Amino acid sequence: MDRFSWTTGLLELGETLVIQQRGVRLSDGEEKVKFDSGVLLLSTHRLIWRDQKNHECCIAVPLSQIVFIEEQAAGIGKSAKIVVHLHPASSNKEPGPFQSSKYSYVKLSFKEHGQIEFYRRLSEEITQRRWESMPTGQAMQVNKDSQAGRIRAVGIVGIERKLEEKRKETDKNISEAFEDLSKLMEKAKEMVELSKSIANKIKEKQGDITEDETIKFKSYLLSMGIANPVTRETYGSGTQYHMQLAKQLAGILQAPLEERGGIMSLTEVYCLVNRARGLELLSPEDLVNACKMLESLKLPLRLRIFDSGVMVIELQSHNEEEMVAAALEMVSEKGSLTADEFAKLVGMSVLLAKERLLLAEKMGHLCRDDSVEGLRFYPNLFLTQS
Amino acid sequence: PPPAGKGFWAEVLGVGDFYYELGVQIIEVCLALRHRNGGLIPLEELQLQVLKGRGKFAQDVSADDLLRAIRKLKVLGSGFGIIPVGGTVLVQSVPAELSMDHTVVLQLAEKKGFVTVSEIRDSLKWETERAKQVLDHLLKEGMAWLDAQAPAEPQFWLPALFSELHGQD
Repeated sequence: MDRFSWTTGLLELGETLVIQQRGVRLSDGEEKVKFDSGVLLLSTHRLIWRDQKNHECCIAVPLSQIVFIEEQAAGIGKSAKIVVHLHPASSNKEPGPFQSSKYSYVKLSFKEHGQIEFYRRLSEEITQRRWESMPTGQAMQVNKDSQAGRIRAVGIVGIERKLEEKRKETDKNISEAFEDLSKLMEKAKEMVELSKSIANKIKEKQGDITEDETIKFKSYLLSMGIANPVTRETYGSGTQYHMQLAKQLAGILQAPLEERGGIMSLTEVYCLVNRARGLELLSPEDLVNACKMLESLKLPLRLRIFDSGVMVIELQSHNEEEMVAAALEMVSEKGSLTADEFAKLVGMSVLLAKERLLLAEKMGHLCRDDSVEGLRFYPNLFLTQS
Repeated sequence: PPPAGKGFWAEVLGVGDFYYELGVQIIEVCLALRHRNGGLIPLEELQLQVLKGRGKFAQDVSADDLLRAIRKLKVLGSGFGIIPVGGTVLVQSVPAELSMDHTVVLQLAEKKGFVTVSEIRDSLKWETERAKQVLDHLLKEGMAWLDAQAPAEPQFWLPALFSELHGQD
């Protein structure tokens, strides 16, 4: 059994599987060893045995080491066997389970049968010696017939070397690729650290994010392929596109806003802008994102979101709170107003009229009378006549 | 290179414009009819009106197209929403809060276009108070009209629903 070597069990280039059989016990001559239950595989080059329970335990012997084989019939309580007589192990043999053995043969016990076919195939392979014409990446075992072996080996070794080189090259590529991956992981780790520290600073408002960190962050993004990144601190959560769009909107909406008393709902803006464009329309999302940036870009308009969720664009110069004062006057004049009535009087959309009245109520200037006839607003006499 | 925000696939497939324009048309139709139905309109009627406005040579618009466009409009914050009601869908276009209770009553009213307090009590097993609250809210929002002159008891009509039953204007 000292002729066997540890192996991965993977077939080499040029090696083909011939037959395999489960339930085979391997014995060192007459002695039982731990290789009790395994799969026996015959390839064009080797005899491989793999433990059925532990696939990692895998040993093989080159067919070239086989001198001859015998069959041993089954008996009562005994499985049929094949006895494999082997040449002594060569000096450059790969390490195996046994350093030495007093036997020059091993026994294969076929506990689940299959020995007849296996024997036939094994004989065939030994006769045909296909391993000689199909060199593999493994180091060739030099057998007793060393003279002839050496002559054969020269041509084969050349091919062998090429294959070995190729394999080394592949290995190198793979490990290089993994190197990149581990470098990437290093970078990623750094990025995560940096973004964590920035996030913390933002949270605790601890000093400014240093220029250094900003530059570092931008360069990371660049190296990931995000050209011209826009950091949150400067531009808000929008992108370059939304920035440009915001500027455009400021230009387009100035006049319409002035015509409408300085305020328009986002749906109105959406319709207006897209009608004007005709082609390459804006998506509602893009519109909202662009509007979110108006204030931070210091443009003359801003986005305002009311408690109800209604979104409007106002001129910077527009002061809704001042408008509330005017609304209050009007309500007092008329005694009370609904949003519809108010809208008609002022020439506003009902949506915005309602928001203004609600704001006035929030500020304490108006009281509501909520009935089935609608929502009506009255001046808040509790406040003024206390 | 196309600007990132435009929606790369919308550009490539050329579908962006179609839905965004449809969005504009939907908003306009809803605005025009709001005074009548309080901001609730059945999907079929919306489709009808939108197709009218698009003219003879425009691309056809399916119910699915409308729903997609409406979902995109939600982000504008003006209350666009979709309410499943029996066999159809109502499109909401005003920022009114409609709870499950309101939706259920709308569904109940779908068959005849109106509903009464007794019907709600019998079908939904609600107390009178709860039924009244829901109906009052719909009245306030302009989504329901009260016919106090009805023979047995007051009927709450939903213009959104009966306009569908009685054909177009």
